[in-house]
Amino acid sequence: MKATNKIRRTIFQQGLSFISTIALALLLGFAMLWLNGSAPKDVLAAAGSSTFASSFRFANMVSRMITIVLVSLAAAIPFKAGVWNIGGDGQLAMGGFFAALVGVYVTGLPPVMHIGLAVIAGMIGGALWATIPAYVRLKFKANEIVTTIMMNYLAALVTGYLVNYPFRAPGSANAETSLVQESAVLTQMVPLSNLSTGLYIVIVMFILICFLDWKTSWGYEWRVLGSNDEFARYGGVKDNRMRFLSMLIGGALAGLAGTILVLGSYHKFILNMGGGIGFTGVLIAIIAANSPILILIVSAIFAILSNSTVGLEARLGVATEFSSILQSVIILLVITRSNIWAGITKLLKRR
Amino acid sequence: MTYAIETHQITKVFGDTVANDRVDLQVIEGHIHAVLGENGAGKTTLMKILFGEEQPTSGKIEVRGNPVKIGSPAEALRLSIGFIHQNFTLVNEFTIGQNFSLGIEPRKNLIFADYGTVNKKVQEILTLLDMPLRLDVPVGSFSVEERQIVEIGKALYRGAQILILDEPTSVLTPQKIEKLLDILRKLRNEGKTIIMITHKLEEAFSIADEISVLRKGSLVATLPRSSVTKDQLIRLMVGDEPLSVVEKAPHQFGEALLEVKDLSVHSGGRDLVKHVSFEVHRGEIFGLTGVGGNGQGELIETLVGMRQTSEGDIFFDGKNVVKWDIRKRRVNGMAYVPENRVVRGTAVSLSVLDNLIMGHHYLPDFHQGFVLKQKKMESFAQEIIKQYEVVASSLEINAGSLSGGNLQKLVIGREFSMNTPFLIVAYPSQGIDIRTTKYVQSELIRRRDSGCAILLVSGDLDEIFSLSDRIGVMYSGELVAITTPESTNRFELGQYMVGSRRNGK
Repeated sequence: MKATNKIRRTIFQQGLSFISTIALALLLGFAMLWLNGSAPKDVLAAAGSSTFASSFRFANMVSRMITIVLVSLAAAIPFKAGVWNIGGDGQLAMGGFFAALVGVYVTGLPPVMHIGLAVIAGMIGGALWATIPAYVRLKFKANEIVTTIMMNYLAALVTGYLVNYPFRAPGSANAETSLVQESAVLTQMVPLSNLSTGLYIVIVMFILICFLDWKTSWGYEWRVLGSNDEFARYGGVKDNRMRFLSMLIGGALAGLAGTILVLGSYHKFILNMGGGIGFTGVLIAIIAANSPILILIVSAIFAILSNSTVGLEARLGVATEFSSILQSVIILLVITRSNIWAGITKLLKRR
Repeated sequence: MTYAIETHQITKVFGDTVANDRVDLQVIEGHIHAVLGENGAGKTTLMKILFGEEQPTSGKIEVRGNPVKIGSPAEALRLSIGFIHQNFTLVNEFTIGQNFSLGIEPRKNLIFADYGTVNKKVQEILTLLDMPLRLDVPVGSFSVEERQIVEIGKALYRGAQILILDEPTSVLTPQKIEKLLDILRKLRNEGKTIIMITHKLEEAFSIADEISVLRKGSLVATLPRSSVTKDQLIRLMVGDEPLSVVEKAPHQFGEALLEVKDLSVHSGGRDLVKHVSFEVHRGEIFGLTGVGGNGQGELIETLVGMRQTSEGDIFFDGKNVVKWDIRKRRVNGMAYVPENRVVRGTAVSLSVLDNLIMGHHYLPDFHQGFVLKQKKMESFAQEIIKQYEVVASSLEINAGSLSGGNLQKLVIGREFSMNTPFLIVAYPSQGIDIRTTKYVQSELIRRRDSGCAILLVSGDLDEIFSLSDRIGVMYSGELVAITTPESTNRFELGQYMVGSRRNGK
């Protein structure tokens, strides 16, 4: 009984240090803006109103958040199994492109089937893009950090060619496909916002991933593989197969992120629509220690932060880069938080 | 006659274990001094103390007659003591000169490393070592034996007059060993003092001026090479106390469950296991012993499928399992308590529960499709903890927070509760207390009496004698003898272990 209390206390302390670290980072952000001449009261009002003042703004935050959650999970699942997936951007692009192809060129299907088909195509597109680095890692021991990053550039170039030439929307000045069929569009949930019923797909997917992580032999074997691969192999875990699988699932999740951007937000594939969000996913996976629940929390914070920039700029003239700076501060503090809190505890004890 | 190094009553205690017990070692200047002993006799610890990597719990060290305190490897180097580790400490991407001068590069024009000067000195050392190696290529392109010599060169470059070598021949082929020994002789003639740790009697015999024998942490004797016989040394290494006997029922031979036929394993150009044949019967404990590094580890790995079979066959329950993967062999009845419980036997950063269900989790009892039955796993884990007396406050704590003995009980509990007809148990009592050891041994006998076939691998002769029904000895990758506890003795086993005797199986 005592032991479980102790565990609860440790978890509580861990959570407390995590949350208080993020609070500390936000305070630092206020301090920076204060030095810059903006009163904390105004900052809070401006930032808060960017997200919470209307349902439209809140919906945009949620829309951004679901993309971040998906790309973070896309990095976290392979990380768990000890494989580095930095290729979220490329997988997102390929997934989005595959979904757009199905959305634009398949006709005559009822919406449910059309959307289902496009989602599956998008996930396959992301997964396929992940199999290449996964395969060369397992077959030729090529470092997947290098290959997944490389595949990001390759994806940008390949989709760039495809939407500039063969699949370019007729008459369009931009590198983008035509609009997807009406039957493939995910319904807008809040007028004028980016948020679509893709939210439900992401909720289902998130629950599925949690289930996979906590309750299945896959999740278990990934966990073991990531913490001691020699032990995993000794115990009969098919190590390479499980690593491969983790990459496939990671790729499919990133592909789904692209799919929802296409079917829900833009209704077409636009070149570089991810805007490098895959790297944000990698960082969040690291600071959330691959835990789905923490990923959810951190993604929300990051989405609110990047949403706030608009209000801060409009009302207080704060540069849009401020949000990136604050995100970096959070990342640095969270990663070094055990040292920071150890230092603070020591200081307090000395006094 | 002056002593290059002299220790007085050096004692080193790690937790509950005494690694060195009041050691008085005297190394004569300009001689080659071999330090012999079985695995775990305390050789490496003693040498690490001399090199400042470990601090003695008590005792004094003198270097050339002066009392010294060696607080770090840097201080050891200042006293001109160099250590050539068993694992290489070279930067593979660097050239010899860059490796030698790393951190102490001479400068020219204040900021540039002066590799011209370095290489001149390197060339002198390589000539001394009789080793014409290229100075402009990374050391990673050299062979293992060349890198070994480069390691020695590095110590010389840094001014070492006293060289400590930790099992320098363990990675070399026989021909290359001769060459290395020649170089060591040459260095001695140049006036260097050499201390060589080894468990190979032949080497100590062919090269040393004096031989010290360590046994269970104590220095049992230092003898001049000229007045000692191999048999004497074997007796010193293995001791001559009577062997303890554990009460057990007479041996009931069942059918052969495991049959190994002419098994060989090659890797990296070396023959790790050479034409080994033996079988283990139901109701039998087959004790496999030998000095560490003579192929026992590789043999087990091959049996469980962690290493590829090069030649030969492994029959398990009548079926040839050579092509089976690890999981298939486990599911079909092989359980394995590995030699290193932290590296291989557990994942210390995961919970006790996660560690206990490994290997069970794919058995039909514990999953439905690929969903694990959480409740069932927990009650199963609780049962193991209770039955094998693992002291763990809950299933959720990290396995790494358990003591060594408890971790071992966890591994043994997990593997034994597979209820397989065959068990491989490697070094089960390594680093655990006497109470746990006794418990493990009685479990092994209980399993044997219930008809299990057990392959026990151990370097501890007492353990081998008291538990085994038959004993096999490995030397240099070969199974040089199969005998029974009744028809052999400690001395004879010692002879097999160091390769000075073999029987026709």
